[in-house]
Amino acid sequence: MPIQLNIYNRLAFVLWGAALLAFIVAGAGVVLFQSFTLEQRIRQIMEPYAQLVSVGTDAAVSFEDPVRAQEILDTLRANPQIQEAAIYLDGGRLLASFSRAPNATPVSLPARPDGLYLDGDTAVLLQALPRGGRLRLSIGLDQLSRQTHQVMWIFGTGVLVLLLVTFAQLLVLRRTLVRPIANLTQATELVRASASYKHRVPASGTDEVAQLGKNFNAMMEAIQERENELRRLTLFQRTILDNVAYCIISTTPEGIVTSFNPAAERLLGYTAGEMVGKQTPERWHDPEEIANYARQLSLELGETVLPGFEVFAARPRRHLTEENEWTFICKDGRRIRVNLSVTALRDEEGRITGFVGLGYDLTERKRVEDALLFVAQRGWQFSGEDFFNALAQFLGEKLDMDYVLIDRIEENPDMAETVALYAKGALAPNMRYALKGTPCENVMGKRLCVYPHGVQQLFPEDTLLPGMGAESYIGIPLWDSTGKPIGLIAVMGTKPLPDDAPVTQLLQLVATRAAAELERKHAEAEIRKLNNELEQRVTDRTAQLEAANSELEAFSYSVSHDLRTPLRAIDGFSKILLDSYFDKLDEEGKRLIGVVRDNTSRMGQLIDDMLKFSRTGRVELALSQIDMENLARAAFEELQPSPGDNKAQLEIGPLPPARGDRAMMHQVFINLFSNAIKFSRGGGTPEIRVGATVNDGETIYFVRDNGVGFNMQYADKLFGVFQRLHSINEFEGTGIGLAIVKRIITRHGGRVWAEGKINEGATIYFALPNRENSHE
Amino acid sequence: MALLFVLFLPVLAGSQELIVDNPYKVKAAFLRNFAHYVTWPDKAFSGSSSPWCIGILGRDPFGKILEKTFGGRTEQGRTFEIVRAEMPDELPKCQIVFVAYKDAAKRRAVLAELKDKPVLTVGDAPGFLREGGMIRFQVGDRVYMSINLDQARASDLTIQTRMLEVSRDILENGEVHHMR
Repeated sequence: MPIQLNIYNRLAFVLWGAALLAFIVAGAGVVLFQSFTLEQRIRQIMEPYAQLVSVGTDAAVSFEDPVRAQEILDTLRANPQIQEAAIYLDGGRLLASFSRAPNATPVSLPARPDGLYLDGDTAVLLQALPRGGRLRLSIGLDQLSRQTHQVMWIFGTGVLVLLLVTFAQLLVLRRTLVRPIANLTQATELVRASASYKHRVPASGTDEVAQLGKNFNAMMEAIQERENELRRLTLFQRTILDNVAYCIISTTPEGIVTSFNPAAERLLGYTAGEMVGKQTPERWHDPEEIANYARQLSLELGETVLPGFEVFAARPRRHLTEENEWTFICKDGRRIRVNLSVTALRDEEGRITGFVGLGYDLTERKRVEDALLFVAQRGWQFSGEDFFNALAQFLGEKLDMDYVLIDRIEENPDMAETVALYAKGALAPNMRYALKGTPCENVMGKRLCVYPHGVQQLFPEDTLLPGMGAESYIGIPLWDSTGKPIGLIAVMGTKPLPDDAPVTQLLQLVATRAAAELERKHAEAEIRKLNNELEQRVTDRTAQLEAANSELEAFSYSVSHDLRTPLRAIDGFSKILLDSYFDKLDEEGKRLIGVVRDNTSRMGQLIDDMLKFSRTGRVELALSQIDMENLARAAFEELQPSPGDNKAQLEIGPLPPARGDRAMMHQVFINLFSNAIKFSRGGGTPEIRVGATVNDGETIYFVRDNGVGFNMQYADKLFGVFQRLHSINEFEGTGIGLAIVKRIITRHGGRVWAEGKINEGATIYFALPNRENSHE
Repeated sequence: MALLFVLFLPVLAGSQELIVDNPYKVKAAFLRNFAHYVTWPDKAFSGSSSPWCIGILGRDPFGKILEKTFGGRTEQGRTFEIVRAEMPDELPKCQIVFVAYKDAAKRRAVLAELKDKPVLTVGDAPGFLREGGMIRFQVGDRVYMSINLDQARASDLTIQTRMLEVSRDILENGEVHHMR
């Protein structure tokens, strides 16, 4: 049976054992030495004497001189050890003897060979002498045994000292070795039991034990630091694992779940307790998907991958990335699309110690993607009402909320008006409501309001909430570009909202766009209002102008008409005067009458023109298809017959037909041609060119002459009534021709303009619309 | 063991006798020992390995004892040879000569003859030293010897001190020192 000893007992055992062993060995050694060396020691004592005697008695023996022999023997008395001594001559005769015992009879020579004989407490040495004879020397062993006793005493004292030293050593060891080690042991025991690394052992000195203690303390320090670091790290990781939105699931290399974070619990509906150590990820995967992926992997990797956990591990094992979309089957049977990436966990040697899967719910991402897509695409497709309606419907459906309100707040900050209202799966008519006491009032003062549950209790003044059965409410304000709140989006549900993050995320995504749209819509309304106002004003003003115009025309017509009668009287009477009193008038009189008549004629022409001008503004247009080329040629021919005029030359390009009043168009050409002829430079042959170009929506005709031209500075004055650029003495005419042209063309819905340069001719353009409904 | 003691007991009892039964036995042993304690010059020997020559002048008092004492012994690598003669002329070159003459004049003549030779002269006669001998045996309760150191020195012989220590009388510089 092994004996369990502590260090102290072991040390004590060893020390005492060593002491005992030393004692035994030394004791045995002493005893053996004593016994083995006894004879030698005796010889050492006796032989010098024997030698002394043998040399000293050399001659005495040779010459049988007992006196001399006795003298020598007597010297031995000095040594108390020597008991007896005797010298025998050959034949056994005693030559001399000495004995310490009184009255001792000399012992006869024993018939024994030379040598040392031990006899009890006496030792006898027999030795032959060199010149014959023998010496017998006997010593008592008392002295020797006394020496032995002395040795034994010394030995005993030594043993005692050894014991004391051993004991002292034990004490020292207990203090310097055993106690520190016991402390250390106790400390390690404490550390092991309590896992607390705060304990320290006293460590002073420089020996190994103190060094051990110091090292232990340093180790504890390091471990504590590492422990703290580890705890911080673990806390950090635990916090991440617990709070991250991703499912994080780790498994053994074989696939048994080793951890299952709260996000995974929320997503799948299983608790960690149900999964850890019991299940593999196949539990929540679709076997068909796994089988499909196994086939795909087998093809990809060129090795058979069996359907099962290996489909997740096959790629990570080969240091390839593994990320795929999977269908997770929740505990309640729901199927969720999840993006799952799998990574192998490896130790320092690169051996796989497990796998960790990181999954996130794609529905969430899908929702965000949809919102972005909505904002990016449908936000542009729709605008105004359509946009808000689409947005309300989108939010209601995507967020699975019962009500969505997109509100506008305008002049009156206490009232809100919906621009879109989604209720219970469909769009509802817009409405106005008072903000006071509603959660929306709060939203208007903040950025984002989230009331996941009990919104009715929070806002008892709101009368709409109970009617809707609202329980949860999330609202976000809409700001215009200047930072002014202009509206809000509020979503409400009839159930408490467990997680508001997706809702707020989505609302934040669309809020900016909605605000922009709201602002845009507001601006649009402003513009429309302004436009309408402007149009109204223009219409009013036009009506006023038209009234004034027709009045003026009526006036000028009647004036012109009324002027003709007195004029005709002047003309008639001046003719009579000229005809009847021709002979009585001197030349000057005739000339003056002529001047009156010329001016009367001009006046008549003026009045005619005025009436014509006036008429062109009033008569109905008789629209028909006109061959403009023929019309122009006919008008030109009409102007030609007057003799003495310079024969003008006409060059007519192809003229597209026009729709208009033939008579009026004829008048246009007449006026333009007569102008061209009239303003031709003195003596020169007028060259007139007529042409046309078809533009987008209108045909532009032009009449170009080589006449005196005009300064473009006055181009706009050309078409005014009675506007003349030249004096009446230079060129005849009433100055109303171009005004009439302008009026006719304007009535046809066209426009007129002129281009020219002094002495380089002029070009008059008129454009007629191609449309048939060109009259006003 | 006890038996052994019992067996040796008579021997031990006999060997306690220090009294010399035959002094010539002792004297013979002395003669042999002189070869050890006395140093001769090299010229005293005929060769480097020639034996000791022990000469007996006069009537030999030792009998067979000498042969017994010297037989098979060697001293300083030399064996012993015993020569008996009546006259010194008959002796070869001897290192030790025992002068056994009863006649004092005869002893004197011989000693005078040997005076300058490296020969240790030994004798029993009471006036032997004064007659010119070097060592004289004297028998009392045991055998004693007296030494004429002057004569020995004159003959170029060196007598070791150890031998002098066990002598009874020593004649040195003409004076007799009584040692014991």
